Amino acid sequence: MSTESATDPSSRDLTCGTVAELLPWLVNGSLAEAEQAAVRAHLATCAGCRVELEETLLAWQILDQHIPSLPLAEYAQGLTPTGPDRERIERHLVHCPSCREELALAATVEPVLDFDQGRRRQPDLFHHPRARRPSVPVGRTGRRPLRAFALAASIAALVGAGSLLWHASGPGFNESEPIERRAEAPKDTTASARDRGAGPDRLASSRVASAVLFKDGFESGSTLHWAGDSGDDAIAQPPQGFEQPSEGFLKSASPRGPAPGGKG
Amino acid sequence: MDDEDLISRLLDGDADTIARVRTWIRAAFQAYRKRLGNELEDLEQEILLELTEALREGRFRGSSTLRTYVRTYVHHKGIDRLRALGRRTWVDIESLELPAPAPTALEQLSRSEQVAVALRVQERVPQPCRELWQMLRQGLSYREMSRRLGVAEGALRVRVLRCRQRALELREKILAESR
Repeated sequence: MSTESATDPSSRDLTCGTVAELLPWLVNGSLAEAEQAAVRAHLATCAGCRVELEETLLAWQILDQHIPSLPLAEYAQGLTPTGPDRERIERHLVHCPSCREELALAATVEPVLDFDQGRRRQPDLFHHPRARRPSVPVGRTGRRPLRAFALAASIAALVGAGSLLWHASGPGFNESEPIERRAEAPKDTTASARDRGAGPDRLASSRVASAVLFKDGFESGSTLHWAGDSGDDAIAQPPQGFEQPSEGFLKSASPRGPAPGGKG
Repeated sequence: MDDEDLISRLLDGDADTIARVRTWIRAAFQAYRKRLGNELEDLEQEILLELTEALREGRFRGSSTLRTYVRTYVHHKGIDRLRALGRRTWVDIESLELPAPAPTALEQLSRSEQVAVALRVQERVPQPCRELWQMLRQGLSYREMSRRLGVAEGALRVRVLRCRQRALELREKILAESR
């Protein structure tokens, strides 16, 4: 073992201590050419420093160990990992950015394919605090709120439309008439009154139409056809067996609720 | 069609089933498209062949769906390929004619046991030590590292040496505990 006291790493004459310190950078290939040549020259003649190099390589092997790719992929897919258990994998992920990055790749949500009728399971790896969660919701959990929102919006639109019809078809609707008088107006079922939108009949027909809309789940049906196209008498007198919707129907009706007087 | 049918058709060389499995492979590959680029085509073929072989040998245990199995395999190969590409070309150390010592206690363990020991050592070494080694893995020179960390070059080299010693001591301790 040489005992030179040189401290400049680029010097040809290095001490064993300096060589031992430089070995990690010899291994990662970042030593300048002169330094590398000096370290190599020293190693060629110093058995003790070659042992140091062995130890550096061993330490490198230990500290550069990552989760093997198969267990990492299995973990990403929610399967039981082969080899290191889940806890060990998770502890490693805490301090290993490269494994976290690979995990994010392996957990990437794929597009839904024509072949696949079912939905894939959400990988259960995201309880890890630093793992990235996909921004796009997946599967049932992501679609249900959207569907519920669409349903709620449809109901709100229908209720709004019903309310408009209600006001528009008030008895003897006249913008210039006071509200009290409008409310007290006699039920006029003459043709002229109906022409300008007679209240009760028009109201009945609008309610029937709304009721059928609800009953049929927003699909036009035969009853809806009746409500719109039949003659005046038919509007005043609905077909037999048809129960007039109650006042509170519009508020209480559910899209999937039983049809009023129907077969449900 | 259930997985058994799919496997049977795949092994019979049914074109539709092969196309279907290829579609699964390509879907899982989307994540690697940017990084692996042109290599994907070869890798896809390689994976299809290896999968067929694995299925023929009955290595698919049915603990997941076939599609999950395929997807897992694709990610396994994709990560492997990325690691191979990212691996630095280290200095040729073999030419140094290192001594051939007796196998260490670590080397006598199975590969999976070695991995477990290494992961346990990593858990126990101090965080600064792991960070130093991460910088070394990135191929940084000691000058660059000392500049980034704001420490003198000599002090940095000593720190790395101590870190190495600490890792080896922990390895011995863990091996002794497991004996």
